[in-house]
Amino acid sequence: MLLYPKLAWRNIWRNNRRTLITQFALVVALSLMIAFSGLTWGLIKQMERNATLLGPGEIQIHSPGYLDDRSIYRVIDHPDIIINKIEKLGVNAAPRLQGFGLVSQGENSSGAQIWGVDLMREKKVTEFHNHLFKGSFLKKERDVLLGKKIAVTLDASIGDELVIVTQAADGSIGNDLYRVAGILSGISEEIDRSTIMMSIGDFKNIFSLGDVATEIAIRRGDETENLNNLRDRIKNITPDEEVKTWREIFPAVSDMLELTDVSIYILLIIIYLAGSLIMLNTMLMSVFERIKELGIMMAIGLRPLQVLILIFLETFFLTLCGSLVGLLCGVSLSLYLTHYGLDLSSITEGFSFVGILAEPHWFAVTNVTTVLPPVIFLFVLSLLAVVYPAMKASLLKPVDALVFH
Amino acid sequence: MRVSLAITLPLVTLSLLLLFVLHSESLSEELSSQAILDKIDKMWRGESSRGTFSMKIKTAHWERNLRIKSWTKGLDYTLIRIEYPKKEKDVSTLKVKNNLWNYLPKIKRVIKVPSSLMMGSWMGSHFTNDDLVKESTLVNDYYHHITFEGEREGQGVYELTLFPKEEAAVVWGKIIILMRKRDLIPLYEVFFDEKEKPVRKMIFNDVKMMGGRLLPTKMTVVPYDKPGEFTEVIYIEIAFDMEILDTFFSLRNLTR
Repeated sequence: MLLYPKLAWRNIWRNNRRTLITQFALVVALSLMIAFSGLTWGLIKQMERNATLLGPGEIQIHSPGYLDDRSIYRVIDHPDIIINKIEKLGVNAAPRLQGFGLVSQGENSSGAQIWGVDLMREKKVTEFHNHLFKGSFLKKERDVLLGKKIAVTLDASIGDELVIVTQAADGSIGNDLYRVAGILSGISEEIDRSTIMMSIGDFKNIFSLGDVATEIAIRRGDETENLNNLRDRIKNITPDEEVKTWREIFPAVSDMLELTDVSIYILLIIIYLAGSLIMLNTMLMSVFERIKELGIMMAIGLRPLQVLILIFLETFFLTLCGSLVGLLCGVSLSLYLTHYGLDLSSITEGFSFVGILAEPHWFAVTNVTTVLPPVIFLFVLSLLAVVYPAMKASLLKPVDALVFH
Repeated sequence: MRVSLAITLPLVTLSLLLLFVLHSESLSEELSSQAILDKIDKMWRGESSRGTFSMKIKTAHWERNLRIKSWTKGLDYTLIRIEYPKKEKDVSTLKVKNNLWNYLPKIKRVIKVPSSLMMGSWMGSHFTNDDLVKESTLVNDYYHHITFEGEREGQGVYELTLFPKEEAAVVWGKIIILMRKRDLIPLYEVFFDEKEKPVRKMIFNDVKMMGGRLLPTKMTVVPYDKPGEFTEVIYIEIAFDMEILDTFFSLRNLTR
């Protein structure tokens, strides 16, 4: 039984140049497929990350009805009790308060969505502190962070004094002075245009609120944990509040990202098809080049089925060799992109897609899901691609083959 | 005849309060809505006022009582100063032409209210900032006609319906005004949005002599979408036609 593999192996290397060219094409195709797949997954991951870790967090707890009527009267009482329980699960949680206010700097003023955040805990749940355009994250009382566009509207820069006026929860007029500590990089239209962050203590002062939060933002401790499972676990802790994953709160964003997933699959399949066409071409050439040879083998007694097996084996070996080298090159390239990324900041400042920021510095992801599908796909397509030449060869009549030019 | 009014509330509405003056003139049966509104607008010009009123705001979550002092001059100038409660004492609003500023004594800062917030609530009440600033005149910005004339609520009334003119930059889609026939004192006013859905109702009560004139001294704004909520204004005192310099309505005086 070892005859066929041996024969196939020798056939491949009978024409070194042809085989090497094929191998080279395979290696290039596979490397690019792996790198492309890594980059696209990286983009999706990044956007998913920005949709969660630069905004709502992964799961949110609200008082029932808050999502339909975002009022500072629909609050979670004593959020610390819930947060302590959640932190015991090894999950990060941060209380937040959100309300509307009028912000003014010098002659300029604007309406703003004000966030009160817990200075320590917010950093564990979101990545705002790593996403600053200028200045630093909130450090002390009366520090505020501005969205990128509202900072322009207010003509505010680091260190400037801001006035914020609000309608406090008791109906009185809340007003106070703050200092611009930092300006966020572009995140999403909503945050850029209207968001101002301050410490949750300052928020409670200006809005005359007690020990409450309008939401608790949550981030998994273990990124592999299923979000819905975690949501159910948290629901058990706080049965009276509304617990939702970001996908449930922002179905449009979630749907768009999923749609992006699908379109990227389609793009990958097109690229894979192009890769396998190289394979088809090579195998067709190698069969037609050897028609005379195959004719002789058939004349000395090789049956059509055996020819078929032989050609499939050849393809298998060819793909195997190419894949191994391609895998090596592709994974190295992908790892490089994972580590150093693709810096497009000289070309673009990043773009917003479905209101979510895609950053100009683009990092790939390298894991089984980005590497394995291209390899499997290449194998399957190569073997499919060779069906036609293999059939053609096995159906040759020795007499015709021998006189084939 | 020069008439003035001492309040900071919607100028459009306030103008109606002045209708009482008309009672001194002979009201002919053929008095048209045009004439009524025109008189209101005329009464506005070159006037000044100084007054004190209380404002009671009730919402689903809180209830407050404010005491407010106000000065006005013509259409262009208004200064309002909160006297009570203590937390808001001296919080002031200045309106000069189309601009609105708030002064916050706690932090000693003046804030200009941006045009995007004109429909926002004034100091938490059911009045909007726009109510203070909008200097649209009923006769210029609305088409108007008497849609009812006869007996209602036990007295002879006129009902006026106003629709905004196409080019007018006004907030309301329709206004219905009901007024007493005998002295043209308004009973209520209903404001509709552009889909002709009623948004709020302004009710006028307690007609009595004040500042030398007969006027409704209590005004209640009731929003239709928030049952149980209202803002009630009651005049404590009011005086008309005194000398006030334009410079009184300055940013400098705002921060006094």
